[in-house]
Amino acid sequence: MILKSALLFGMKNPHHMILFAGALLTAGMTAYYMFRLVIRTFLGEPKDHHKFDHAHESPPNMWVPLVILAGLSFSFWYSGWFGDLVKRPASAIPAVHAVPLSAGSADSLRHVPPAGVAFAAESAAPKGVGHDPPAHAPPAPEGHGTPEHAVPAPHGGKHPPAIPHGAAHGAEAGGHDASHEAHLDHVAHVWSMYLSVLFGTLGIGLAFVVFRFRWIDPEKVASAFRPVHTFLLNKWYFDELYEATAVNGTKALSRALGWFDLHVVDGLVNLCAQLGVWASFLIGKFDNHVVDGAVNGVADVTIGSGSFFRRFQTGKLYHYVFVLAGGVLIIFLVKAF
Amino acid sequence: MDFINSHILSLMTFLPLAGAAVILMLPGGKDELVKTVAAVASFLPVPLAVQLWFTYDRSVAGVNVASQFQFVEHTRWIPSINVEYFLGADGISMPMIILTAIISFLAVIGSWNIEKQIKGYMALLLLLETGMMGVFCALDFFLFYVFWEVMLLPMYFLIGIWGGPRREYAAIKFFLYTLLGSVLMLLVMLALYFNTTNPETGGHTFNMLHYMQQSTHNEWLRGFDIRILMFLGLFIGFAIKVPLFPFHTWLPDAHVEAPTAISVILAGILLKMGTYGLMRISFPMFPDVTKWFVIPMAVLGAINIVYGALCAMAQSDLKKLVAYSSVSHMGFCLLGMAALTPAGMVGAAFQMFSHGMITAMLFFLVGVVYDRAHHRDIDGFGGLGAVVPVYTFFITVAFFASLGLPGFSGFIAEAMVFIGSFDVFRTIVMISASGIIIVAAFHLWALQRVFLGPLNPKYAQLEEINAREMFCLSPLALMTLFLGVYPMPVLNLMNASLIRLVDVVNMVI
Repeated sequence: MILKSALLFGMKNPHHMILFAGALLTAGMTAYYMFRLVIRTFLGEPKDHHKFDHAHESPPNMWVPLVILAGLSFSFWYSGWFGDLVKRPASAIPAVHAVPLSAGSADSLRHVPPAGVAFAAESAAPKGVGHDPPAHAPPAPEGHGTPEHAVPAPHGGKHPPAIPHGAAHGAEAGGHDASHEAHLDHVAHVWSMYLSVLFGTLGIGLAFVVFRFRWIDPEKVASAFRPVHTFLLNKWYFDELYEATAVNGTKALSRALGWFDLHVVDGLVNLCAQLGVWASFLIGKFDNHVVDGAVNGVADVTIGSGSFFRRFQTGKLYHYVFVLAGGVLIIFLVKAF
Repeated sequence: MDFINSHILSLMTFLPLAGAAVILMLPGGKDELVKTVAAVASFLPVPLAVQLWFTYDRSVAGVNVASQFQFVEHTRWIPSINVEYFLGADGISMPMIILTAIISFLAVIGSWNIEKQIKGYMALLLLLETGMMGVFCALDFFLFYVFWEVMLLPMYFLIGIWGGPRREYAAIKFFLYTLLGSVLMLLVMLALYFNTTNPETGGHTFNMLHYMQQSTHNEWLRGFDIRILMFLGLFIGFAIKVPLFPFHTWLPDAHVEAPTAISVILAGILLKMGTYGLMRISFPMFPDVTKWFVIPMAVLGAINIVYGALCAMAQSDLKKLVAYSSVSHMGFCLLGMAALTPAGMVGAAFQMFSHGMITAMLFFLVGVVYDRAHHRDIDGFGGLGAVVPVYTFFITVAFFASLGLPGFSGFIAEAMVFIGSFDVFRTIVMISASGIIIVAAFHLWALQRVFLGPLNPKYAQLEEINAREMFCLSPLALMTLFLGVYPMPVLNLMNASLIRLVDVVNMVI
């Protein structure tokens, strides 16, 4: 179904055909590596006889769930008669994204948006964002042999915002009537089915060629493309990339901020405290020497002047007479000139 | 019974103080008796909190309507300057009152192994509980301020005497920093006092509910510049307590140096006083300025979240890591409040309650390992999970709760904050959300370094967590888990009030 959607999209937008090709190739590769696993595990000669001798069947608590899961993986549960037994839940994708293609598609009415997601339709539709990948298509019923009921409306975001969501599709397929759409849809359905079966078979065949019949030696292929093989073996070096960027980047940032917090933010706080201590030291000195110095200075001056003037009070008469005579002499000189 | 019902908040506030008085009168040397009295005095508020829980009417809002407050006690205290003894509870204070009762009791139990001067320690711890409970009950600004300052003194001594190696430095830093905020708050309080009139008496008033009626403000107080200045004064006072970047550096020092139970109270209750003050005082008194400041507040919240988480990641001391994680988590409160939407406000208040329990667990747990290993260096352990599986279980629960795993209350709170604030400030919320990754990263990294990997042979004989420690942790773990699955009991408690608070700030009412 995903392949079909991709093919339909590619048919309508030829430059996006690569999406379909990629999906198809991947389907083939999946078949190849799954059969590589089957062949190397269950077929051929045992490589390790010790382990081989100890291999035994799994207990029921392991194989019963496996059988249930395997049974449910058959497609007939999900289409045709069985599929109709189960009532389909309303899609989480609002109906505005699902464009009904054929007139009689009553099924598309099932995709009425629940009230809770109505806001998504309001916010997404006028903007014409439409970047939903095809994988998000609403689960349309399959296997009726009739045209599909609903497909996603994939827009590359290139449509003018003014065009309503549903009509925007028509701008691309302008002039095409509904029957042409239905025809296109049918072609896509059939071709995607044939092509996927073909690529799946090719993948399985290649797995047998390499691992069962050993016409190609995988080791030689690996050594021929050694750098590519190493690159892929290390998972494209994604872990190393994340380690180097996200993990170490975050660690470095956290160390830097930890340092910043301790030395800059807290440093400022401690600096304020230190400034307070220095200011108080200076003020203490000022208080001790200037303010208290003034108080003590008054006392010192009083004492000093007292002890200085005390010397003149000698109590000896001739000192006083001498000073008196000097005074008379100075007054006489001032008056004379 | 009537007396208890009519004075329930007073009893919850002052019973611990009475216990402290009894302890101080006991003769020396009777350590067991001192501890028992402390346990009883701190336990008594717990059944009263249960009583509050069952009798609180969840349908009325309170906030700025005096008649809607419950368990009110209202009388004159200092008539000459119009100070009232006014206690009451609404949906903003109820969760905090209950949290205070629970955490304080658990802190006393968690202090059982204190040996140094147990008498002084327990008396100060009970005095601290009185201060905290009073802050959450007071509706008179003067009374609020008194309780706010009462709390400082015991904290200073509890860190300064019973703390770690750098206790004097940490205690002085905590005291001075908080006092700086208090002084700003005092100035704003005086400005409010002189520029409002009590509509009933015509005189000045300290009644907070009167301050919230904008009609009581005089011409001077209606000037927008003055209002901004006053809002900033209050904001810095509360921001220091929360603590918000860049006023947060007292927190790692105080938390790391404080004894275990005091760190629990510091992180579990004291930090919430900052956000509580914003909700109770700043927002409803200055709604116009609050709306003007939403973007700076949201930015500060985002800085707290991301910056706090990155700083936590850089720490090698387990207790410092937990301390910085508090910085990060309190950022969510501010972000949710700044959105001024019901979901954001309720998320912020729920985060206060939830973080109170989770961080209390974390500090208890760090204390457990410190008591045994006598160090907290994250890289100095390794593989403890094999030696102390029960302890590892508890710390894993606490770490997962702290990193906001769905199923724990922290997730509900953070989700509500994001839901409430996303439409208001998208970019800021997206930046904040990246903090969640960092929070998860440093928690898991620490868990891995301490409990997983090869066992450090030094700790092969490490003692398992004991029954008393599990007694402290289990109620918190169970409540975190329960509220993570079904948060409605606590949300119902505060919904009506917080929705009204949002309306008051948006000036719809």
